[in-house]
Amino acid sequence: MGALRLGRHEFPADATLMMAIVNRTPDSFYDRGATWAEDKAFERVERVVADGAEIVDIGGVKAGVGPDIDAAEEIGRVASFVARVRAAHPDLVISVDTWRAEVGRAVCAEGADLLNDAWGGYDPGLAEVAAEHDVALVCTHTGGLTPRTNPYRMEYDDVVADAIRATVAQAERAVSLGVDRRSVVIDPAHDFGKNTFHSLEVTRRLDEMVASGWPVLVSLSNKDFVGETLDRPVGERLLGTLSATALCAAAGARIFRVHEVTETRQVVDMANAVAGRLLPHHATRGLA
Amino acid sequence: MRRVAFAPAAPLLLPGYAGRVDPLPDLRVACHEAVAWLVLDRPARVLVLGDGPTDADRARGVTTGFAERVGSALLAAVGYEGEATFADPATGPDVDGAPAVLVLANGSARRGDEAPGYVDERAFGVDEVLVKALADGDTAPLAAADPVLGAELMAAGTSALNAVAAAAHDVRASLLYEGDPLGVQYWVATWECG
Repeated sequence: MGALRLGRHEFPADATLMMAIVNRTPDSFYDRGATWAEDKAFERVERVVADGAEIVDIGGVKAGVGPDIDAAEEIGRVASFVARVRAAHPDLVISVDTWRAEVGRAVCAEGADLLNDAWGGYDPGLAEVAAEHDVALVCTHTGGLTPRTNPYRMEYDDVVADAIRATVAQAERAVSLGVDRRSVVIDPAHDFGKNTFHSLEVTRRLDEMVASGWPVLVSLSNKDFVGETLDRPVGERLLGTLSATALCAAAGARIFRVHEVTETRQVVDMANAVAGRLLPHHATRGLA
Repeated sequence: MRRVAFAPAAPLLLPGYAGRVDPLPDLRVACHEAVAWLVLDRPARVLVLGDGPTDADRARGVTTGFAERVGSALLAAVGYEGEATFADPATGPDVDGAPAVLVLANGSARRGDEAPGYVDERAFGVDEVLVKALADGDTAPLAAADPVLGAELMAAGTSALNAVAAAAHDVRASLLYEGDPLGVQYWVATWECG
């Protein structure tokens, strides 16, 4: 694993990063529009920065099925907001969750550092935008789904192998287009094109993705695979989320896309300390 | 014996037991300053004096005590490349003949509710005498320090203090650190002998 370069920011090879979800949507599954108003979204940014998030992931379109939001509407939701966050937080990594090259171009012009292509390269132009603007790119696995559609009777011969094949292919393509090799991240994309068994298997075998050598991002936060596994509705999935987070951290995931920054940071640090990759904060017990 | 440095046998000074944040940076700086001074003239050999492993250590498979490990680590930290020889005073080392001596010793670990050994009221008086003697270069109180009482107070290296006090004369002393931040009496001092 090497150093990460996310737009104007660089992180050492042993860094783990909290990517806080900031929705500029009225209908995302977890917050249900709590940060739809721009000032509320900005307050959320302030809060997660105070909590220690290194990255904010700004989204203007709900991932799930819902009313059509065209590119112009999506740009209206996110581009000026990126500019506002950029001005207020020069040291923060700004990611935008989008599948559209047009949106990517608009947010990069406003200071985005990272394009989170959550729909697996559906628009091949997005990687070209990342190269043009010298920003980072998250390459995800969706099993070939069209954006904002749910999996229905999708099956894999080997879901982990498919996830590695698809994300690494996108990563190599991005590098061939001119994206800095240190700026490409892969994400198995839990729940995207996956049933709960698939997401559990991807979690269990995350070390195989890490072994690809590309830095791995996981987005587990409060998702349906947690809810189904523990029979918990949205709002009661934090413990399940954090349990899966610990396993992914132990396997070597580098970036964690989350709703709860403080809790996730503690779990990730604990898992990495157990794995021997992070020293305790301090130690005097038995050592005075 | 020309130069002596005193530092605590505290395992938190070992690189392998360091966290991301140094709990006692002032102590570490003082230790490095004292040991750097000790080897300033690049002596061919440094005698490291302190307690060897206890029977309990040996029962757990430990054959190198903290005094030896911390002494080696401090010498390494200041870039000393000569020979470091560890000795427990009980083995009768030639302290007088050593050009440089590093003494791993500390006072009581029974100096507070959060101290490793809780509180023993005797600790404060005993430690005070030793700290003053180290600061003043006064050999008599160190020569008189009682290892049995030291053991009761969970002190370390009391015999080493005895041995060095017996060999030292015409001392110019400097106390670089004194405190009990974790309920253990630490000191860092240097002695230049006439």
